[in-house]
Amino acid sequence: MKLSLRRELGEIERIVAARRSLFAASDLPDALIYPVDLATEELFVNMLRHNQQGQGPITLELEVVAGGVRVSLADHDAEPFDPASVPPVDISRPLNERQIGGLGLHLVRQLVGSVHYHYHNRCNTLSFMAREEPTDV
Amino acid sequence: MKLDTRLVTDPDRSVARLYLAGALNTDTAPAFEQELQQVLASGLQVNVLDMRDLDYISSAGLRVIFKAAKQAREAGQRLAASHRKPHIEKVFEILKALPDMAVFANDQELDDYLDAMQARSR
Repeated sequence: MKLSLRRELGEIERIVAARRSLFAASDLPDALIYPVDLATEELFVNMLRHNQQGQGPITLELEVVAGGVRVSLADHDAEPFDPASVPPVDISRPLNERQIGGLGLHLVRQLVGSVHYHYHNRCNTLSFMAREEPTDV
Repeated sequence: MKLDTRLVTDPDRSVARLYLAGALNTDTAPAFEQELQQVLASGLQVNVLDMRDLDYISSAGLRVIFKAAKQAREAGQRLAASHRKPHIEKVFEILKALPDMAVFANDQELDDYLDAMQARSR
């Protein structure tokens, strides 16, 4: 599933609608809904904040893969922005004193693991895999 | 998904309960922040965010809540969260940012807390 997103926060609703369609058409576990929604929103908002001069749409792709979902977001006219360059959030500091962006990325890493970054021809692509945690047998 | 809110106040016990339903995300957080500020400005002692119908929260929503919690504490008020769904409880725990907030799993815990507050103020 592929979606072209305008550079505005109101598009979060379309992201959720697309995720709903994907889950409705597959047997993905409900446990993945929140991690997918959260990680996608946080990365989308990060892309908007780090490329405020950007004009074009951001492309969202959602794909069912073995054991989960692969999500990628591509900003087609952007300066490089690797989330790994954001220092780890200092959770010993009060929440309102932590750096903008770092908090969301911290949640993303905790819920879906690492975020993959690729930059080529001014296209900034972030992707992640959300997989159901293995259950104890 | 939108965020719907409903405010119920109990001036006798100095309690405000703000019921949240839907999604507290980057898009809905600014309006929620304004509403929460108005609730705190009414000056009631205990301000409870009832999250039984809150399905989703992102870092933007969490930031608003914890900023308000700190502000409330500094003003001699309390901001509390109740009835968090398990996935929302999990992100609160990940952030380890609860020193300014009380959390209640259910109405009984909340009532016990309010009774204790009242007993202390007598």
